[in-house]
Amino acid sequence: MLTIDTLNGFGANTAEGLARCLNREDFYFRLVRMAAADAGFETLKNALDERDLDRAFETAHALKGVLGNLALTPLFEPIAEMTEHLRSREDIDYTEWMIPITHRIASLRALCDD
Amino acid sequence: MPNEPDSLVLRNEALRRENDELKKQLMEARDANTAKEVFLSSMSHDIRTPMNAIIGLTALARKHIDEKERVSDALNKIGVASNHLLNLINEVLDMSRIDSGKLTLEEEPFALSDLLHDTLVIIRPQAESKHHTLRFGADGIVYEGLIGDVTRLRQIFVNIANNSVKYTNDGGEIRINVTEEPDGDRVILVFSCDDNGIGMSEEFLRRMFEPFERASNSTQSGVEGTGLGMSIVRKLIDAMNGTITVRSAPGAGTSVRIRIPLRYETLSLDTSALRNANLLVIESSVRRRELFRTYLDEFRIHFTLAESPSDAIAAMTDADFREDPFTGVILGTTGDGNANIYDIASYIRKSNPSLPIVLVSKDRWEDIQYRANRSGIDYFIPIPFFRKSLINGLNAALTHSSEESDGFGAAPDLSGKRFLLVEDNIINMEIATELLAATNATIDRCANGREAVERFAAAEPNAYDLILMDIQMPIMDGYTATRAIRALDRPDAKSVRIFAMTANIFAEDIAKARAAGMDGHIAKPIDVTKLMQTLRRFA
Repeated sequence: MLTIDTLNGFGANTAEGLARCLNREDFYFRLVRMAAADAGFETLKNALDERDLDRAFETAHALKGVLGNLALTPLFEPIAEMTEHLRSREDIDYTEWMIPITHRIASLRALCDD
Repeated sequence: MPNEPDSLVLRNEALRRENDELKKQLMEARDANTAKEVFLSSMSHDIRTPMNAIIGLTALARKHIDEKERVSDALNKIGVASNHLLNLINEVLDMSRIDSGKLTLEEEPFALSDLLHDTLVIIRPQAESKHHTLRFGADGIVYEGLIGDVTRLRQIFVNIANNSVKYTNDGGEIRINVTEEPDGDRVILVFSCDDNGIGMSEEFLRRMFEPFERASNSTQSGVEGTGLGMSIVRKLIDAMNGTITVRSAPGAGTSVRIRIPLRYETLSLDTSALRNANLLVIESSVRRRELFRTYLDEFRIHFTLAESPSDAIAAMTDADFREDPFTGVILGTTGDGNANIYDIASYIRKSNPSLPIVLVSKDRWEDIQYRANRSGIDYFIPIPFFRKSLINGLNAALTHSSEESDGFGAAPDLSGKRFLLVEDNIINMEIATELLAATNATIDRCANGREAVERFAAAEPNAYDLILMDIQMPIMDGYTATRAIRALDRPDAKSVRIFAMTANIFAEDIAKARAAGMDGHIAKPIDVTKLMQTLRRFA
């Protein structure tokens, strides 16, 4: 279930995220649900599988902005790190970031589904 | 018939001498001709290389016309190749102009820091591509405001430094240093460049300043150039009444030292915003601590020096206890590498969320920005730094901070105002819309730059009080959209305020935004207090 406590347990900085949403929990939760449902996570994975680093960068950059605004820190941090590598189109193994991202987005979606 | 045989001998002697002289001139003309043929051959190769790149990249861009990033990358590379080609052509024209006596040197004021930063920006990429260690120092600079031809000075410095880069094998070391020597009503600017490159023979040193001379032929060695660079450098230095000395030996590197007399003027820096500042300067380097002390004392800015993170923490505790807290932090080197810098920044940020932290570093901001921002670092000043970059950086950091301490946190009432919000991401758009709506202003929304330009163009004059423009967007990005708006033929096109919404706050990105015609920036992720401050001030 999506509450301030469960989001804090997830590792989000809810104080920061709420501040951007004018301290309106309903508004914040609605946007968190939208972010969790964002197909960008799958697009990012597919782009990396296909080694389409241009599309991967655009997707990661977009996700980074949203996750930063909502202070979903456990997702924001690895996405932000990846974005800097993708900005230079580095042809490296992005698994070290994708593994935690995949697990954490699954956890967030589970919170949003309940 | 007296003397007749003597006069014949003399005449023969004179004819022989004249003949020898003509032979010598013929040899020199043939040598010059050969050198010119070699030059033309090298130059045609050096011109063909960037031309081929431009043609190839243009074809690539056409082929991938719908792939924005690929086209953008190709265009960037075309820009680089074009500039290189232009430089080649300019060097040839320069020689022609200098040789025909048509060179005119400018006498304009300029900041030494700008000259050195520009030089570094130009040579660093190639130095990095060869994995050189590039050390850049500027000590004992008193006169930062100089008068002269900054373009030609940059041409000289870049030429010398580029030669060091080119003629040093991969992984080499290049050391550039700039100092000043007072000389009455002038100052002698001393530029030194030392490398551990392949060096030059005595024989080449004697002719290195002659036109068309090169240590090796570019078509064979892969080292590009016209062979005119050093000749141009020498002529420019002579025109500036300067001197150049070169020491070198094969396999032992090269040292170049240039001395140029210049007039100077007092740099005008506005420090009014720093009058009541109380700065904590964290710096482990003795030399750099003295530099901070010199500059901050000169401008009467109150500061405390800390040699280490633990000293800094003690100083902060003490300042809070005395109820004289610091209003800003300058974070230099801490002696333990970057890890400690971010630790201390994070610690400071946690204990004081609004205290501005300015990082002074020799690293490139692009390489460290993510980690620096996450640690709470707000602004960046590159090393080497001078009075101007230090004061400007502090002004930016503390001025921005003082706006927050106005005690304003709630949304201002901007009823009757109209904003144009340009953002491609739905969630970011929702957040920004809600924040702006809290001001009671009317919000018009566009999903990309092209829509924004069309919406603005269709609106009545002065319809919009403020445009908030995301940068990275599909179809048309924020910079392009801003330029397009500014180019519209209507009175408010130039006056409407446009703010970038961007995660990048380094001077280069801010400069890009300004060059596009933007009036400022709002950092992402959005800081609500700073956003409201900006709206209250500019809307």
